[in-house]
Amino acid sequence: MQNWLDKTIHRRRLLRQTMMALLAGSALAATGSAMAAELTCPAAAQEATVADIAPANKRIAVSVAYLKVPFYANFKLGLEDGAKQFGFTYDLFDGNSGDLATELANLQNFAAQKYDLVLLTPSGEGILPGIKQLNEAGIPVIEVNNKAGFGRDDVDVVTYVGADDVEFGRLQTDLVSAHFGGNPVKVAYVMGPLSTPAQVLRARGWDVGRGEHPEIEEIARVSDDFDSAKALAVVQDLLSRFPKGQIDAIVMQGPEGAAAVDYALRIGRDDVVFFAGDYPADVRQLIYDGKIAGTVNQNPYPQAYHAMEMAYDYLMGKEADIKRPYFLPLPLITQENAESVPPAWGC
Amino acid sequence: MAQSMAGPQQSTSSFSQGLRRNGILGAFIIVVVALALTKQQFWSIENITNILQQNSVIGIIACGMTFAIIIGGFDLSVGATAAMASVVCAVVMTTSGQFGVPLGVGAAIAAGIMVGAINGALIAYLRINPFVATLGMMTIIRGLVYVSTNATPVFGVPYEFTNLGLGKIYGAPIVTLIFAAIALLLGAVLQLTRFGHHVYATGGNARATSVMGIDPDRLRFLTYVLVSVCAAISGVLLVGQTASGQPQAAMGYELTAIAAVIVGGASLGGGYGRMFGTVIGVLLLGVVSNGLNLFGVSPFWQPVATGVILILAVGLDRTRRD
Repeated sequence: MQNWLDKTIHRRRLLRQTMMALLAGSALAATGSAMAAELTCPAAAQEATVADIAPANKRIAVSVAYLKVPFYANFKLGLEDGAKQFGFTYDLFDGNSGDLATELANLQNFAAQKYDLVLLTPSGEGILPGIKQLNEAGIPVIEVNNKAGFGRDDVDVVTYVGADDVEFGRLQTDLVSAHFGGNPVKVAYVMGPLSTPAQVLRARGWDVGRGEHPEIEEIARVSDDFDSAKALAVVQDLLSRFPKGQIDAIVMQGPEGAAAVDYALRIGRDDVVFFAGDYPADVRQLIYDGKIAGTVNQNPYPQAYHAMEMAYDYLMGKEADIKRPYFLPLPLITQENAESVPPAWGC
Repeated sequence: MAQSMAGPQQSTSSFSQGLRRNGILGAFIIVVVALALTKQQFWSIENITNILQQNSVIGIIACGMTFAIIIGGFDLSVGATAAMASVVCAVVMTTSGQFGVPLGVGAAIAAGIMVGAINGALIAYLRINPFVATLGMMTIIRGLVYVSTNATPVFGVPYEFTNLGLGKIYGAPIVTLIFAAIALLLGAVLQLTRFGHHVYATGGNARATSVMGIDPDRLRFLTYVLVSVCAAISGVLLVGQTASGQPQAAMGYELTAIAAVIVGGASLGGGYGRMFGTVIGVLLLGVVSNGLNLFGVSPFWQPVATGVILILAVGLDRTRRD
């Protein structure tokens, strides 16, 4: 009996010691790779309220193709602030992750319910018949963040408010070129969900930029579906495929690379420089820590806010004030300015 | 001499018998050997551990799904449950001070149990078809996660927690060790316990098992709880990989998990399937994806290639069985 008791106590002690060792190991590993300093996380800058604006008192419908994507969290805040500022009531509808049938149904409902204006973030040009229906119903359309009908002859879209995704892709080549001082660089390009406007247009801009920067050699093109776990897997495979010396940088269209960057550093692949797309809080911290070289900041908040402003100008007959298109700036973020520029979302 | 010859012959014949019995294992070995011979990087330790790590999260979900499929159903809510667990885990971790990590993990598992209990009750006691019940739960859970997070990831998870998702013990990814432990445990439950045998029996013929005195409703209920707990564990591991709770995480995992179980030889009609087959199914899907990336196959062609390889592998397996 005593023997059995001794053995049990010994086993328990061994187990406790193993657990302590594991915990200590984890803590050491964490300390070794701890971040230099945790940035505070201020909310994205909001537009200041202007007092002497006569409210529009109109009803707007908003359809956003990918409303559930984190990027659109601050977009919703921009809509809210813009509506308050310019005196709109609005109803917000989801396009069910870019499902064209849902988007078209949204627009048909808007026509039936006779909204005063529609703000539309389309998933692509498949939405054109829906825009045509709104045109026939006499409901003006403004495109925000993504564009499909603006600038075309067959449909009438008042304006487009948002970033130029083609320019976004081109600016990423500027970032890469500047980081490497114009020297030859071998790059793997990680795209978002295939056939979405962000993927197609950013890739188009990236290709244009590579024409301007022939020193950038694209050695692989893959997709992570804007999914963190898939981004990790894709980067792992890229690092396996291209050992040290065969790849200099990985450029991602989206901001999902945090875990992938961490993984690369864990296995000693600090030879690979990472560039992200967009600017949420975790990317900001990684840029500040020097783990990501830079990104292009597309801020959803002002896009939504200024879309409301353009809607106001249109409905109040101030057509001369409408910018067609209304492109918002795409500032480049590097370690130098990460601390001073608040993230676009994620705080 | 005759005796000494019998050994290798016997072992060769038992090997080929084993392959014939496990056709999908043969397909898996063929794919692995082909990749190893044609792509030098495939066989590196780093790449092998990557494959294991990348597929462990989905593997754990597939382990649970094996039970659901054997009992004659399936669970479409596992991806949403994993996402919910990741968000619950991250929120609790970031708001609960020094005990945040254990509380976060516990809360995620509790959330998984709750979802499983609802799924189980709907299917076993309210007689709602598993497709409808779990599809409904999938959309409800995703919706609630979006409402509660404003579709924004939850950042601020303690950095040390990524050791769970990205760390290794003696070169083996920790997530893979957890996957292996769960697969072994659930495999043993399936093959060696009365509960496992009853799951097979209920999937094969629920009416007959109920005549034998087994309560198929209780079994179904417990099975769906088990599936959701596996999904919740996967959600916690996703937090370990991404250091955040992602409302959009695990999108489409339900179909990948079902595919892995079916590729592994289980029957969608219920009553048949093995945990070993599921593990091979998961690894086959992972190896194919890895191989396509290593060969630099265009992302536009990758779904085509994956589909063709899967249909070939399963088709060969089914032809052999027939």
